[in-house]
Amino acid sequence: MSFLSSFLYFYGADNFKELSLFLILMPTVLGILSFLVSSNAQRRSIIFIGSIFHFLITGILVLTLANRDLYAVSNFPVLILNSFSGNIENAVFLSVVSLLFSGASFYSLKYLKLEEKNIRKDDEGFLINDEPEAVFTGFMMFFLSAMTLVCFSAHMGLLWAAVEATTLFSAPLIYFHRSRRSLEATWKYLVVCSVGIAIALLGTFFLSLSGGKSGGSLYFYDIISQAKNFNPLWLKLSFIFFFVGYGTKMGLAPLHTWLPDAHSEAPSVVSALLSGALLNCAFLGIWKSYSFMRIGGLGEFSSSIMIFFGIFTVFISALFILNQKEYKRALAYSSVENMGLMCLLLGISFYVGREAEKLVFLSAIGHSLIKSGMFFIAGMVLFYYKSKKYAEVGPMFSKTPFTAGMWFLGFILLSGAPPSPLFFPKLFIFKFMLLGGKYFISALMIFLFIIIFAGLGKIFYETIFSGANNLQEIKEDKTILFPSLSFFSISIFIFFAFFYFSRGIK
Amino acid sequence: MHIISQFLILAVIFCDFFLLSSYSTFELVKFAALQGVLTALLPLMAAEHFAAEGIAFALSVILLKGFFFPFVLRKLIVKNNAYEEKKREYSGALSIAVYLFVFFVSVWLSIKLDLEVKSLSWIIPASFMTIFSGLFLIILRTQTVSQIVGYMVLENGIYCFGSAVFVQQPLMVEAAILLDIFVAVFVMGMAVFHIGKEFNNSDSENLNELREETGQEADI
Repeated sequence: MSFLSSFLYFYGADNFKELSLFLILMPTVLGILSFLVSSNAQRRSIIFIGSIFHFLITGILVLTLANRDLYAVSNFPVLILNSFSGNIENAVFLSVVSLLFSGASFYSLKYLKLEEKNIRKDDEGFLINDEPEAVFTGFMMFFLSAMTLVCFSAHMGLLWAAVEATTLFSAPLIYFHRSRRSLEATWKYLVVCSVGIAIALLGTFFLSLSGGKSGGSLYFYDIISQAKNFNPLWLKLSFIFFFVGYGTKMGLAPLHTWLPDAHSEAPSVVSALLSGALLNCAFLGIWKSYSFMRIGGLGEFSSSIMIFFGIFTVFISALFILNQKEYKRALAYSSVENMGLMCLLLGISFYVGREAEKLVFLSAIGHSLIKSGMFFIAGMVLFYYKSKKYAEVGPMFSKTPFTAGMWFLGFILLSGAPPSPLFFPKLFIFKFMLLGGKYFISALMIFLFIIIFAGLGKIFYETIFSGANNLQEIKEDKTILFPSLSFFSISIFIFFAFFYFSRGIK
Repeated sequence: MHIISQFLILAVIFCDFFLLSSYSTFELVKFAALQGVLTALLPLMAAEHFAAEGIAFALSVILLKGFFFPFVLRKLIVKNNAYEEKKREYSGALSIAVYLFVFFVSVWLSIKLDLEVKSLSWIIPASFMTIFSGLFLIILRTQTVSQIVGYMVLENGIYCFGSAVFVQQPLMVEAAILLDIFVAVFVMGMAVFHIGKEFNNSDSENLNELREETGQEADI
């Protein structure tokens, strides 16, 4: 801490704009650099050192800017946030992105080395010829830049541009394995998300129109101060378009179709980032729009939409998880479920206020950490057993016991059983519905949670305790799962911290 | 200026008609590019005085949509031998039905939304028509190149709408949006290039491996 305080003293508390810009641009520069260097080892070092550096600066910025008063710092609109006051969700998501990326970079160090030697065939029997590492590391860094920009955007137009940039920079990452299936997943991802995001651009224009017929300002600063006087028709329309646009990217049903394909075909390290970091970035767009609606007096309208689609998303994910044959696809549908839960909780926050908002954070952080950890493990399961189908994997318990233990711990955390941070949001939703007299919906939610638990449980049970059992000895790598172990430990710590400070849910 | 603007809007609407009825990919690219140039000129015609920034921005849009995108897409068409869309017996009737649907829905929506754009009376219906045309191109066409054209047309419509309602954004944001569209077409183009290399043609009907397996299918 003494290093941090001396750094802040020398830097000067008001010069953080440059530091924010540095945080956004640094990964881009490193990404370009990774195309220029000649060896893969250097590229892996770039990605690792860059992400650790990113994490440290994020820590400094979040700690410093969290308590700054936006209005005291600047009395004019800014494109890049210079305070997280009133924008706490940006700070939380930025921290999650940065932490996840550090874990992913550590994992990539070994993963890329293993992939280099791993010559294999895809499901149709074609040889898989991986993407050059320069492209992979370069686009990973560009992707980090784009996600950082999303978290720092203080203008709805810039937010849109940044979210679209995340799609474009992550598409080549999905096509890393260069198989027909990954190509199909990439194409679907590009087309579905680009069209979705284009609809969000139309929503951005509608939001501008709601501020006046000649177009109002799109700076957060201006919208927050003027939203009370916005035209309700245009504001409603803008919310619907944002919800459809960013909801597509976030994976809300029925617009989630790209998500299972992209997550299952991308290399696991990319799936982890897509699921843990990217979906949150898209959710930020919906969150901003929702907060404008609340200021504009249309909170009930927006929250009813969010509650309906939240429940519908959980329903769809339960339906597909139950009969799932591939474990990576099952994890992807679990992400769809969690996005539905976050959307539902944010909708509920209109009625119960801060308590539900806290749980949205808990849900977002918990899901990001657990799901990324699970995708890291899934990558190793795929590497060891060479199949995405759970029936062809295992028994992990005897062949890869450490991975099996981590896999099981991840399942417990993912299912929302204590000590998972996802336990509180699920309990809260159930209680909220029950106390509000919505007995049918609370029963439905419990039923859906049980279905999801059973669907995932079947997959995890089969992979750990039974399976093809026709493989020779597998040499297990334990160090590669260090990020998963760290993320699971942080999740368990968050569970106990939340329990201690809030004494559970009142 | 006013008459020229009205003429441009009419031309945008005609482009939509040609886009929806044409099954030649070269023609699709040509009309999307023409429409992109027309929509880039619209804000200049509607402005009361010319600003250097506005002219520079319009020129970069024209360069990108009128020249760069068609150049990339033509290369892709030749490389993948994707000159024609698959035409079915009912294709002609479907095109007219879709066009009429798009036309009436756009006009109805514009009346409902009651936007006062006195100087350019048809610009709102034209932008909605272009947005819907883009969406229909993406949904109904099977050539991946045509789907990229659909995305370009959708973007033309949104750009047209933005200029119709004079949404003012900082130049940096405008540039970021333009850069995104440039990268989007470029990345989609790269994907089409790989699809062509992998399957020997760039038809999106090849991309049918990924779907949910039922229990029986998985057993087989």
